[in-house]
Amino acid sequence: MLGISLDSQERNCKFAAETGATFPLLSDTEKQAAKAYGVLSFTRLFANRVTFVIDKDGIIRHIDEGSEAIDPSGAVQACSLPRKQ
Amino acid sequence: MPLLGTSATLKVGDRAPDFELPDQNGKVIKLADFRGKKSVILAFYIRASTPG
Repeated sequence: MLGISLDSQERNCKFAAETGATFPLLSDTEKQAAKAYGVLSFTRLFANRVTFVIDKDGIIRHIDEGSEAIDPSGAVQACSLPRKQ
Repeated sequence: MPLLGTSATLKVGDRAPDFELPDQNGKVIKLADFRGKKSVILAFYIRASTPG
């Protein structure tokens, strides 16, 4: 599990402490990843959360957007499938 | 699940673009680090420090 935000590393550190996040929270201040994943265009139409599930080979297996992305169960389910191999 | 208005963006089955970004502790994390090892859930919080 990786979180990505456009906030600075300092703000992410504070956010991680406040929420008790146990996963890496990456700082994308240059919008490098946000642009590569097309996430900025999502936000014009939807809420500001998008979740991608990427398999071991680097292929996108699942995308949740907007309010669905708040609940990670769909993403976790999709993520657990390849592990059964 | 249709993804309206996202035809120009990534879709299931596409290769995930690589990135290299610092985490909250300053450690640089690359997507390529996980390749061949682990699957990754990537959650974008566009404005983590603002409500909604």
